[in-house]
Amino acid sequence: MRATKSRRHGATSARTRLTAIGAVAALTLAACGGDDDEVDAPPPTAATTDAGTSDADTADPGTTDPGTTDASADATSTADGEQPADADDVAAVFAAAGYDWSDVDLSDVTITIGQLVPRSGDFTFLGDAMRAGAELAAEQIAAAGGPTIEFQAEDIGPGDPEMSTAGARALVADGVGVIQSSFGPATLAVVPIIEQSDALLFQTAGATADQLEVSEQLWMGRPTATDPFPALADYVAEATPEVTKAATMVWNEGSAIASAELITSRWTELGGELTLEELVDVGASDMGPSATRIIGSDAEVVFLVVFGGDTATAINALRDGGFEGDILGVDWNPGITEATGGGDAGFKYVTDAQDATLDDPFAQLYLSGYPEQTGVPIDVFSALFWDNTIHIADLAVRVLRAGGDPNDGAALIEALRADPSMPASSAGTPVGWDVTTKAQTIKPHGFYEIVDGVPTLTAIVQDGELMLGASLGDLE
Amino acid sequence: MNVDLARQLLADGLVDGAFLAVVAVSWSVIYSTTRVFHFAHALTFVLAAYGAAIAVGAGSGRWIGGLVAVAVGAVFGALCEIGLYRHLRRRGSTGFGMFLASMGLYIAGVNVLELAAGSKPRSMGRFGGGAIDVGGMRITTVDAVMMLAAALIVGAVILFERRSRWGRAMVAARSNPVMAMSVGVDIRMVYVASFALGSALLGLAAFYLTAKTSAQPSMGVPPVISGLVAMFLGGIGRTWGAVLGAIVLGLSQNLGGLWLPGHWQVIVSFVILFVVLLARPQGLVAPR
Repeated sequence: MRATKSRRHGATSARTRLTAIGAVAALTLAACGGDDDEVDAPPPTAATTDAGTSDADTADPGTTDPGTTDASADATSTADGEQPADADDVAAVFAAAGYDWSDVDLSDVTITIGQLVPRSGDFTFLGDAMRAGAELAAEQIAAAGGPTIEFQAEDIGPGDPEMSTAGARALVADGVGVIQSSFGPATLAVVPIIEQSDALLFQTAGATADQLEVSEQLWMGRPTATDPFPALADYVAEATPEVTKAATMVWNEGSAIASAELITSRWTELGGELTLEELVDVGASDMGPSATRIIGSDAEVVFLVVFGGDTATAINALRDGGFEGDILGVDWNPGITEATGGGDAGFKYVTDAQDATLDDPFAQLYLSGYPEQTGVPIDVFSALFWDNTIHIADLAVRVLRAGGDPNDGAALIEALRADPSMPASSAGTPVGWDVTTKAQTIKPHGFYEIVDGVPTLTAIVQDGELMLGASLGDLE
Repeated sequence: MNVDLARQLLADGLVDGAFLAVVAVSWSVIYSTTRVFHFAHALTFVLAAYGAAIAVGAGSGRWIGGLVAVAVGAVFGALCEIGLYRHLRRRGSTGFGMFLASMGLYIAGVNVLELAAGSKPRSMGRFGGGAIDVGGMRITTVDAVMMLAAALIVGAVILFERRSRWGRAMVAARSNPVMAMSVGVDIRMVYVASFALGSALLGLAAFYLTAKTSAQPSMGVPPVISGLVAMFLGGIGRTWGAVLGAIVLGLSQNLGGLWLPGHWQVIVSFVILFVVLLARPQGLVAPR
């Protein structure tokens, strides 16, 4: 009897263990998130952090609208530019913009770019946009007679430093010479690994001040947070000087907190009172208590440092709570107008400047090409990766001209250090770097206001200066 | 103390408590009856939310979206019991084994959903209606309707458990499944019905939250965990206990905002659970 019971117990235990092992295996497989390390092309999926889809009929003709490229519209025809019809035209546009590679035989040159981007979790849509922008650039570079570019994308989940570290190890082990990363903490975490190699690391999206001067190998792929965010405080002080009390609602995440500190520092410098600094969890479904606390603090204006759908959640929570003051932020997408039922009217935000009507053939390669390729509107993150991929191609050509290996990270860094500038970008402006801080300079930011669900450019922010009423065309 | 803030936080707490009551009752119906720690309840929440958002996005009315959420929840919940837990139970799996399987199902399910539908938030559009001012407390019309609906739903569940044949069978299965079987209760069907009913209730909660915000893959865990805490807080096996636990939790999470930042809500939940369970391990309402 005992033996029977024991055998039965043993069989049950074995089955239980098998079940547990199966569950753990399922967990592990799911957590791995599928294919991470293959060289592949990004899917043409949605990018929500765009500077705007706009309907030309509803846009105020007196303002500059950052985006006209509705997917349903003819994306090849814009106000001022058209997509080049063939490769010769693309090459001519590149050359005219300053990317003339005709003196180098690039037919057999292949560059591998590593990417540390979200491919699982809440920010997959951002990662998809980043990869789609880079992929578009690679196709256009090839069409322009440039080098062949292949991508090796590693998943960093929702900006997770541990996943980013694992991805960086894989890239370094594979000898990748240049890496595009995203998210501040995820990028900072990989610096020690990158420094064990010669790789050039571009913080292509999410750059913050605490990443400056961290490593000789870490360069910013976008204007740093030191540039635009304080302009939110400048705007309030300039446009509504009677407002003196502000509160912040900020993602409980390193980059966001660092960005918020820039805003609050400027606000207090300008003599404003900070009534409350409220942190909210990424993807929080209930921001009601935070909104109530902010309203209870008697704030007259709220600065949001949250992204994606959380901007809508925050606006809804504040408006539901009866907040009637100005809400300013750092991100917007068309879904926010839908999710707030138009409650984002008057919402103001600052981000990288984009203007789909820009009269610049090179910028139009992205501004028209991206919606045509993906079927979704332009957005900041795809533009950053589009720009950065072209910058890497140009650096590779410079290395080749000097007789070096274009996949050698050290050579790429040397080339960048020797001439820390690029002649053109998707914003229609050149791009430059400060070789001491590795911060990107020159490329401007835009200050937008939502009017009838359409982002309207109301100011340019460059070198930390808010220029009310300026447009990208004014910078040329 | 800022009295105006306290008053508004009290109102917010009642709103959250009503929402959590629906989630906690959904947990109570499932856990009290089947004793399965159904972590994939969070996946039910997400699927119901996406069902509603997709239906509304496809042009159906919002009330149809609500029905879709309930239907998706009920069907998925029943499938979890039929397709997973029943087999594990038959093979002698322990509660921990079922929990692991349930967690695996949740993680795999959310990832598959992300692959299929993307992680971009899906909105049903903003529900209008403005807000009501009650003694200086501001409550949106959507929240007021939800509170009323929550009261009706909880009342209906209690009536169902007391008056209907299936409800009494569920209560019997909670108390003593062997005895229930011996008097002719079909335990297998009772378990399926418990999962379907509990998950349908959660579908309603998911519909409300989607109307307030939007459907996202990660939206399920926080409310479902809070609902679970509320059920334990109130006492397992008593529907009223789950409701009481939810209201205590909603109020404490919000009134905690008088002194603590809003993102400490979850910590407040667990501290309260810890303290209550230390003092009353059986929960606020003792089982019969």
